Amino acid sequence: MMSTPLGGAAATQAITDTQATESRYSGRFGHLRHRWEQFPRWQQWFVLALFAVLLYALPILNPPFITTEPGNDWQLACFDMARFALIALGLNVVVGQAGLLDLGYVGFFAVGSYVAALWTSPDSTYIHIPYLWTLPLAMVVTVFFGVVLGIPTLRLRGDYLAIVTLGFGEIIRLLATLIPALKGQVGFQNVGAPPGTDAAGREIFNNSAGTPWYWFTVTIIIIVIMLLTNLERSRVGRAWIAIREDEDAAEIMGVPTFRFKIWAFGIGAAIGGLSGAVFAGQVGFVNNQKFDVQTSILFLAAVVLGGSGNKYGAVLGGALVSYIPLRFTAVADYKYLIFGAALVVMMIFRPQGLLGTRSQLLANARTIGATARRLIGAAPAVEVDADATAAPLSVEEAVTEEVADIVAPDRTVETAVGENLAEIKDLSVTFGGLTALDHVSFDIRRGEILGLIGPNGAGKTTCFNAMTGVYAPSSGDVTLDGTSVIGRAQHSITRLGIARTFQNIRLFGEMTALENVVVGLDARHRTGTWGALFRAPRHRREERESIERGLALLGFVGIADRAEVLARNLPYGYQRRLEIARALATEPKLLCLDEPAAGFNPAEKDELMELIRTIRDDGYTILLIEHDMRLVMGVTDRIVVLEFGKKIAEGAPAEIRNDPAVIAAYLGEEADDGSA
Amino acid sequence: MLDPQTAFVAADEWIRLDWAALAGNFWSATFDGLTFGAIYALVALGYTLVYGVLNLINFAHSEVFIVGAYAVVFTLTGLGFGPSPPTFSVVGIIGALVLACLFAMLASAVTAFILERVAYRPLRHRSAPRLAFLITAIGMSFVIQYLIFIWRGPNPEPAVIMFQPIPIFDVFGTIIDSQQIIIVVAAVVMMVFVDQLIRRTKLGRGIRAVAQDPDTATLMGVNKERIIVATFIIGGVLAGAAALFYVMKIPSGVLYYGGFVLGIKAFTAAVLGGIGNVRGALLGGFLLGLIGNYGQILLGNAQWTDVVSFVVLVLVLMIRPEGILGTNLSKVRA
Repeated sequence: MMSTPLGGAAATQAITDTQATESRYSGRFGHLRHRWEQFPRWQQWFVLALFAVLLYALPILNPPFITTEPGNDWQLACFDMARFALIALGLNVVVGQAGLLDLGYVGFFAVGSYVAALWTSPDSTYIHIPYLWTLPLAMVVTVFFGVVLGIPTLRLRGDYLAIVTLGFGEIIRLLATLIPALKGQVGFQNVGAPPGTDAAGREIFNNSAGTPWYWFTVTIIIIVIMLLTNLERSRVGRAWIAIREDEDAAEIMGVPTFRFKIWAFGIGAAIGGLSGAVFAGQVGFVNNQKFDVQTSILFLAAVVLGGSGNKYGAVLGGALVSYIPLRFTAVADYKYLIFGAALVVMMIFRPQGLLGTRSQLLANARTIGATARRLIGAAPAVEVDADATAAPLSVEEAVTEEVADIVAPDRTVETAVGENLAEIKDLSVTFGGLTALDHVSFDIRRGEILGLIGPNGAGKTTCFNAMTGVYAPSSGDVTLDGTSVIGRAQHSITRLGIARTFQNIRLFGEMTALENVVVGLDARHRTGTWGALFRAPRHRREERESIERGLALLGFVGIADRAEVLARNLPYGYQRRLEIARALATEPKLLCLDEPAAGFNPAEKDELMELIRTIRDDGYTILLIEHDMRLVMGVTDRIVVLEFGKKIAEGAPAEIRNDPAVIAAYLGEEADDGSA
Repeated sequence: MLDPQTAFVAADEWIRLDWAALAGNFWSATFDGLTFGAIYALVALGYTLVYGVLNLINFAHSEVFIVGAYAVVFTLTGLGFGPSPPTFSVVGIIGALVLACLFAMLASAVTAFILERVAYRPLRHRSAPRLAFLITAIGMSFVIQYLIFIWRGPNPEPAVIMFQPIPIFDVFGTIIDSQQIIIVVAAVVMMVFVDQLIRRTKLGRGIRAVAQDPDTATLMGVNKERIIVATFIIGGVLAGAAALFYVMKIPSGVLYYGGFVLGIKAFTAAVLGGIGNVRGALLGGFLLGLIGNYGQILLGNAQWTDVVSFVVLVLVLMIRPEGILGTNLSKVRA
């Protein structure tokens, strides 16, 4: 027995420790953020309250040096900054979080403005409603536009969305000119505003009063930020980041990527529409002149400048993009050039933006340390400057009864142990004229470790891909627990109970180890977007359980000490184990491991064999693709051998070892090739 | 609430279809549509080639095109062309146009080359995510646009009339003039040339290899960087040619954002025919030219062309995202 699961990796681990300590507090402001989270709650609230007071007082304080140059009213400038911040906040959901490039955001803004104008301006023949009602109405209408635009485009590669939205922004502007009912350049006067008059009987929300509108917008921003934070720290936010990081891997981990992309696009559109309605109210006049594509690119520059994916960064970027031309009127004429160049320069030299911190993706992050200590007896490496040289936990040490209980899911499997859990019947996959898999049939029995071996190009990974929905087979069927998986979307196959790891590791690099596992857990969660938005009880329960189960899974594969480290900073062996933990998190009936030992040294391979056996003993069924004969022979119960897409043998390891066809086709003279 | 009478009026306020106008102008709309289609197709090739090789929508290609258009205007103005038809001999005019075309090709190709060097190459070397490429592309498009804006101001360049179109054929009572014939024939000849270049030459083989699998192509001794630069330059040269025809067709259409809408249309043409497909770009260009022209007459305003093109783009993506001809660059057989 090995004392540490990664004994062989100890040397490499020492080298990578410096990077490994870079936890979720990475980025320029990581230390500050870490310090902040150490403060007690009341101190945090106090600081936030102070900040809020300053924020609201900004237009009245009118600080020297900061104030805008003569000719630009400071209070109106404050409103404009807030307006841009709100827009950037919405666009950030689409571009920053979900990684979808929306170049026509001004189109949504325009739709929102026209909704407010059509239903409040006396120039419109429509029925009139109070201004404040147009805010939700604008959001509903823009979401409709967003979904109509998103459904055909979001199924395709992300680039198409960019060009379609670019066209959309331009079309909305043209339609405003071409459609008579929208009144072109004449436009709509006297758009409504929130009610209320001051002591002198003047309207509080008139279009030369910046301050009330600023307060109004800042309040909206705060509410939007709170709601977005709820989404971020839920399966919705995690799904978005996972899609941004690796869409295919996200889908295979059970994330319905299309649905969450539509959500991101729709939410972005809603915030765009909302800001449009606010803008229409403040200006009091809407025509076709203010919605050009250039403005869309300014919005994009705001998001990229501040820090794509970070809502506070987006707010900062939005405020800056509005502020700079107002503060320095000398450069105002060049603002498009400046911000266009900023896009290029940021992408090349600082893609994470000015505020490069990443967002928290777990709702109960404060409880991670305590939960880890309770379950595994070790605190995860949360300390930014802590030296993480503590020996990693061995499987045996870590897997206490409680951890094992939490890891083993209470899933219902129809099949009895030893019966056929999955049946691959007559499966063929062809690419053009090439037959990669040729009428292959075999069964996987519940509770066994089945090895799938064969020389390079034999069709092993193709078989995996057909089983998990990546490729559509040209003939044949795959059933799991009596249900056919063919023709289902990849994420629904995962939910049916097939999970897999990848030959070349595909973790979500910008997420911590724990967050990666929680993405897998989300496959079994039932919280919807609305539940997450308003923190429904089920959502809170699922989030609490996520941390507990996620840490237990990490403990189970022996890497709980790095729960808080970004996946891309984990040592290689840890990444492989994390992939297994993430796959286990989806509660699979069948776990498919694609060359899990690739790149391991013999000692690490022994530990991996140990882990695979432990997983099986915990009640999982395993399909294992592996090149290393020693490992395959040592760990599997039965083996299926493929060659040139055909099955040439099936049986117990001892039978396979002595099968003349296998020896001739695959093993050659050398029965044990030792390395992958 | 609206009563039926006002509801009817309200509907009429949104969109009106003028079928009689379309029937009356069908053939002239067709010939003109094909002329515009030829220009779209030449620009579309630039998108298609770069997309085929790099899987990148080169948003700044529209600016590569407009730089060429400026080169045409400057060259011809320098040679004495102006807002009224020139009085030179036919040979003189042809010579001037060829010169203008060469300068435009050079200007566009150089712009495309710089674009690749300054913006895309650093990202490629950092193996940046796709989103970074797209954002950089739109950023560069913006930078070039506003550099031109600062230099030339917000107004279009003075018109440059190249020659007075002469009627050549009379088809169904509609005149086809020399201008339309020159543009369509020259564009088709260039497209055939590029098609053969891709199919038959060593460079074409390299482009196809990189399109199919950049890493394997590199291992097989293909110089990937050179192929990428060559692709950008070919796209630039074609955009330069398109610029000449564009100025020929719309003499006063050269202004700083003039490439933008044409760019979206050309991209739509590329998607319509099948992005990454050279023949698809030609087919898509012609089809889009026709659809846009019919739509504009049916709906009664020239600006509807843009709206119609965009709706076509969304419909194609919905119904047949791989485009009409569907194949991509990597699957072309020699």
